[in-house]
Order: sequence, then structure tokens, then C-alpha cells
Amino acid sequence: MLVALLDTVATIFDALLLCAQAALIGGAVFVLLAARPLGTEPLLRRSLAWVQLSAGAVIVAEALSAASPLADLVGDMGLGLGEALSAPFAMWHGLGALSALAAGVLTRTPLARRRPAILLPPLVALVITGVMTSHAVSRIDGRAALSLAYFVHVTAASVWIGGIPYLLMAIRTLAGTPACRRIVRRFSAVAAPSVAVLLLSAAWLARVNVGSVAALIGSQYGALVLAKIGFLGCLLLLGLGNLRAGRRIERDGAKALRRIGGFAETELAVAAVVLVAAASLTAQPPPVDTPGDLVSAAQLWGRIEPRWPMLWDPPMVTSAAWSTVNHNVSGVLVLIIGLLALSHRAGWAPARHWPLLLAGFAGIALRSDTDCWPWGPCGFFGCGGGDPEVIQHRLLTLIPVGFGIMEWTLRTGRWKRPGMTYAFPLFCTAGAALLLTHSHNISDIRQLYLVEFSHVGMAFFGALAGAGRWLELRGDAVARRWAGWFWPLCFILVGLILADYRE
Amino acid sequence: MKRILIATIAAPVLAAVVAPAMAEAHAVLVSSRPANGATVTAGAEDIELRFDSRIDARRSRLRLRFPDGREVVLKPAAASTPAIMTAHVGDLGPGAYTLDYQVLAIDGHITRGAIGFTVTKR
Repeated sequence: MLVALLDTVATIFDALLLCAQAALIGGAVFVLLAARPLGTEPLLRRSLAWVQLSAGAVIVAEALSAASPLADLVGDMGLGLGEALSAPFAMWHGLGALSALAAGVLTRTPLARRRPAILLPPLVALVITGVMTSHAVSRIDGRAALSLAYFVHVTAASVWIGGIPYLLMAIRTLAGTPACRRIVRRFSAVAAPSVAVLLLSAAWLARVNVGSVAALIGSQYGALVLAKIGFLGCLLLLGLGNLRAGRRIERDGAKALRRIGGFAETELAVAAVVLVAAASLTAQPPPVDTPGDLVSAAQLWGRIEPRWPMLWDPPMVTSAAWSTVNHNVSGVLVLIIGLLALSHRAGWAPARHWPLLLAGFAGIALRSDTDCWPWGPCGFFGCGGGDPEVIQHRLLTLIPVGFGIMEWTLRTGRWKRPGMTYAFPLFCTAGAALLLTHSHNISDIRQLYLVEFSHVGMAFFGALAGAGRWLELRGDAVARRWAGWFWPLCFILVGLILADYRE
Repeated sequence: MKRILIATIAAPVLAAVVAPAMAEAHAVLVSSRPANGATVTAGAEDIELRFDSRIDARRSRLRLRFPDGREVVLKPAAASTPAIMTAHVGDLGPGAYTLDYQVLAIDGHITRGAIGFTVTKR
């Protein structure tokens, strides 16, 4: 059970590493191609400071990412610390940290201001250290091609996604100046080919690692790839919006910049979840290696086929039935919340109290596990000091209660803190990301996938709900209008998935 | 610019030279001898676990649980390919055995599993 929690924590650390790495690489490329040649001294100074900060984040993330398996090797498998630290993966993480350190130190030198290209060698080394701890180099056959494709994939993703925060910084620092417009256009010119390379390398990697349509829908790896494709589609739509706004920047001025800012912030939120999905993917075996463990389309349909939700415990309660009722009741709750939020958007004022329904999750948290207080002999977080699965369930179901109360006080004007309105979309996005790292203690891979499949779906629409609400708050007038309809629809879809869930 | 270009190419090469011999990745058990649920005759047994990817056999662990509850840690031997882990165990008497494995893969992921088999009299 502790292993399941360690796996979840390890995936979160891997995701942090990918995010920090993207911010470092994207930042350095932004400095090289946009801030240095087109920007002003304050922008260059700030960009380099962020690159330095990102380098520090990579060092910490490399250490955390290596720490989890190292703890396992020493604590569970009884290896000496020296032997564990000399394991190849640990050495590659160490080299990754050293590469980031080199990049961070270089940003402090005057040379980095004059010739930012000096940052590239350590960053290339950093990506290589990432490749060396990936599926690609572990393959028995075709390692060179896979490693190269993975290298290209990570680099393209980092240049695009990692550059977005720096673009936002440029918009804020240089708002309304000709330099700002030039930087926006340059960023689009860099991002567009990066996206093309990203898509090509992703398609090739998916073909090699997944191998078939059956594996795409019949394995956890395939489901995560599908989620990544869906997220990528949303990112492309937002990117396209930015590209169009960028072309009209001379004509529309501040209006176009506001639109780009809103889209770019939303892109960043979705991209962060994509990186969590990518980290989660590295913890899954490629389905091309496990053809015997695939779930058939008929089995999957049998599990997701629409049925009336189970809202009461059956006479003979099994743990599966208990869990199904919990999920289904939660689903109905989320469905009602989505419908009320939609009604509020349509102008029905009493529906503004919808966040109060999130308090219903307190009951779900209490019901989440049969063996635990107040139903069974174990404590609130499980037996023997805590069960990781119980801890995840109870925390994940309790968190919405707090956010619901907060959102209600904000929406009804009882608490006037405009900045706190961003907490709810951030919570939705973070919750979705957590769902992608969520793990169950089920040893049968097929059964595990049948359970996890719906979690991937909920994470997908949950992340989009967060992104939609963020856009409603931060986008321009047009984006705000349709985003206000979009995110309640995502809530409704999450509710439908949950209401149909069964174990 | 030329120096930067050279450094860009040299850095990964240097990293590869300084770095440890190849790391390994997330491994899935493809086949085993004895197979899970198999019946073998009493005596010495050569154990072989084959994975879908390269593993770090030196830092992986094999543990055999005997019918009487005893546990013995087996020393993995060097295998012909990096995806295989082998070990030798002698004098297995009749009964039900479980072979637990903890395998370190290249990306630092650890795969755990168990193979159950029965030993019968010759």
C-alpha cells in the first residue's frame, strides 16, 4: 500500500521535473530569440532571473525525482546507500541537476546577456539526461531512433510550453510598445514549428509504443495518450487563437494583447496538466509490450455503458458496491452543480448558490472506505497509521468542501477578495492533475484499467473545466462569453462519468 | 558562435562519457522459468526471468519462499542479455514455492511481482 503512495508521489515529482525543465529550456530559448534581440533591458533582466529560478527548480526536482526510487532501493530492497546512488538512473538525475546548475550559473554572467546561446549546451545535456531515464533507452530494439524522437519531442514541448510564461511576462512588462508586438510575433514564429515537430514526434512515439487502436483504447497507457491528444487539441485551439490575435496586433493593439494574455494563461494551465499526464505515462509499461493485458472494446463498453446510477447500498454490501454508490452519488452531485452553474450563466439568479452543494462531499469523504471510521475498525485515514488509497480518497473528497464554501462566499459577495476567485479554477486544474497520478491497489492490470479509465476521463474534463473558468475570469470579452458556457458543460460531463462509474 | 556550436555538440558527448554505463527502464515480466503456476520436478532449478526492457540485475532482488515459510534471497547471476535475470537454486523439495522479484528498471521505476510454482517428487 505504501508502494502505491510512493508511486503517486514519484509521478508528481516527475511532473514537477518536466514543468521546471520546460520553464528552463523555454525561458532560455525565449531570451535567445525574443528578449535579447527584440526586448528591453528590464525584460531581459527579468527573463534571465526566471531562467535562473527555473534552473534552481530543476535541481530540486531532479533530487526529488531520484529520491523516491532511492528510498525504495535502500528502505525496501536493502541496498547500501552507495550502491543505490551509483545506480545509472540516480547518476543521470545527478548529471541533470549539474546541467541545470551550469545553466543557472551561466545566467549570472555578463556573457549570458550578450550571448544567451551559451545557455544551450547545458540545456541540451539536460534533455539528454532526461532521455537516458526514459522508456526510449530501455528498449531492447530500436533504442537510437526512439531516443532521438524522445529528445526532439521533449525539446519541442519545452520550447513551446516553457516559453509561454515568458511571453506573458513580456506582455505585462512591455504592454502597448512596438517591442511587445514584435516579441509576440516572434514567439508565434518559434512556437508554430515547435508544435509541428511536437506533433510529428508524438505521433511516431505513440505508434511505436502503443502499436494499435486496440491498445489505444484497451490500456492505461493508451488512455493517457488519448487524454494527451485531447489536451493537445485544446492547446492547439488556444494557440491558434493566439496566432490570429498576434496577426491583428497592429490593428487591435491592447485588445489583441488582452486576448493573447487570457489564452496564454489558459494554455499554461492545460499544458501543466499535459506534463502531469506525460509523467504519469512514464510510469506505465508501453502496451506494445503487454498485448496479453489489453482490455477489449466489449469489456470497456460493458463498464462504461450508460446505466442508472446506484444511489443506495444494495442489501448485500460488497466493497465494490460501496465504492460504486460513493462515486455515483458524487456524480449526481457534480451533475447538479454543473446544471445549476449553467442555469446561473443563463441568468437564473438563485442558481448562484451552486457552490454550497460541494459541501455534500463531506458525506462522501466519510463514506469513502468501509473499513475506516465511522464504519469500520480503522482510523479516519485507514489502518496501521494510514492507507495511501484511503488518504487519497478522503483528502480528494474533503478538499472540494473548503473550496465550495469559499467560492460561495465570493459569488454571493459575503467575502470581497477578487484575487481569491482564481482559487476555484486552480483547484479544478490541480485536482484533475492529481487524478492523473491517482493509483488503486488492484493487482489485475485489466481490472485496474477499467477503474482508472474513468479517472482519466474525469481528469480530462476537470482540467478543461478549470481552464474554462480561468478563461472566463481572465480572457477578453469574447472569450469570457463562451468560456462561461463551456466550463459548466465540462462539470456536467464529469458528473455523468462519475454517475456511471462502477467497480 | 562557433565555440558555442562546438560546446553544444560537446556537452552531450561529455555527458555520455562521464555518465554511468546505460541506465535501464520500466520493466514488465514477459516470461519466466519456471512459469507462474508451473509444476517442476524436485532438485536444482535454473531460474530465468525475461523482461520487456533492460533491467539493472545487480540492483534487483529475487527472494524464494519455501513451503515451510522459510525465505532465501537469491543472488542474480550475470545474464547474456540486459533484459534477463537468472539465478540458480539447488535441492528444491516437494511443495509450493513463491518467487518474489523486485526489479529496478532504467528510469528508476521498480517492478514488483511474484511467481508461484509447485515442486513434485521425481
